[in-house]
Amino acid sequence: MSSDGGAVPTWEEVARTHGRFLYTVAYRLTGKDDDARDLVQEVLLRLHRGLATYRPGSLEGWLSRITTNVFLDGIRRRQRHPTDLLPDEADRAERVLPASQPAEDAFNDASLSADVQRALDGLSDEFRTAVVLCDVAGLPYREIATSLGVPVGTVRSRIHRGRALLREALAGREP
Amino acid sequence: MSGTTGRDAAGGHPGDLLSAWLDGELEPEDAAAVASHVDSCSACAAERDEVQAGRLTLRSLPLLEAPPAVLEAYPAVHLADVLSACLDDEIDADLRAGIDAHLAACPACAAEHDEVAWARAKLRAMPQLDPPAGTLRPPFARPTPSGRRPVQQGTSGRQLVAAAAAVVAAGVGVLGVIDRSALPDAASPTVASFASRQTSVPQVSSPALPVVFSERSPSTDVASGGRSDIGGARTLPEPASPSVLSRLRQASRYIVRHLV
Repeated sequence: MSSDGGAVPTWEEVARTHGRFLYTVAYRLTGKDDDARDLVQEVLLRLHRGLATYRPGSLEGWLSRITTNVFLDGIRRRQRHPTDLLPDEADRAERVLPASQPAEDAFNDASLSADVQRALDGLSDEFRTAVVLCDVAGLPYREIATSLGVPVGTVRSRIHRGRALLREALAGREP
Repeated sequence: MSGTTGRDAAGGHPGDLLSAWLDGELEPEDAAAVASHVDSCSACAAERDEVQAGRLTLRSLPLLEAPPAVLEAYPAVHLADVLSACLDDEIDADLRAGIDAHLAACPACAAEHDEVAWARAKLRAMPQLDPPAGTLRPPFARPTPSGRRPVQQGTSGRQLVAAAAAVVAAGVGVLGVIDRSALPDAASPTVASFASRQTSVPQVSSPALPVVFSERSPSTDVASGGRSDIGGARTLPEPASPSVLSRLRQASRYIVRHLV
């Protein structure tokens, strides 16, 4: 971005150049427009406060890490019980696409995209986070492992199982 | 290191060095010493033959064939993770060749590979989303109520109306003070002190609030009030001047528009 490669980018820079990316990752993680906006705001706020430690490298990777951390913080706050990893039935029922679903014009099959999002929402947080960081944010396994604080082998397993579960949930779809 | 039991002990026998010697794990110096000792010592030569026999027997055992069930279960449980890693190019090249060979021979793994590849492709084909307007606002600005309006209308909307009413009420007091002092024909005396300003608020604001929130003009209010037992004079005890009323209406509309 700027000539000073190690400087933390300002929220304006991030909003200007990576706003779509940031919102997309946030939306794919949360599945809700409201939550995605809150997530984006929280990330921008952390940038603004300079709370995030920027390691020069892929800015998108770095943004994904912050976004994931904020997202997981939120989950930890919501879920008082650490054993409650799977979303309960009420939570699952709540996870339908919002009425004001963002336009997905660029996609040739918008309904498939919506179905995939719904299937993502149905995954447990640990599988969804791994899959989104890999397939939406495009992070390498090693970076995902760092973001989530788990070994690479765990990341590999979560990504694979997440995709397999996703395929199962979309079994009605043509291959 | 290894010489203590063999060479260093004068006339000593190599003992446990024999196995290491036979396995070629001794330093050349030690190996030469053991060899020359064995040549000259019949006891050690006999021990060498015994050790050598046992060693060769163990080494000649045939490789066992793994039960087929083990090989079948392995890919389903463990190769699975690797299939996704292969797709993501997160695996060593030499390992990859073995996996490709396995996929060609194992329909179950090939099917799983295709399933996961399908999900991966669909995930990656999902579009980037445009953030709705206002998402990328300055982070230090508090969220505007507009974003959550449909949700909050039911509960906090009323609170905002109440807050607006309070602000209007306070404004009425101030406006009343200013206007009455400015108007030459003001009937009531100018309220100067803070205490008396406070007491003047309820008197003036109580008739004003219905006007604000029912969006009716004061004359309609008086007219409709006239039908009831309560006379117009009681509904509007303070004959507020038209300019005060219009300012009030403006202020309240502004407040309602911006807060609710």
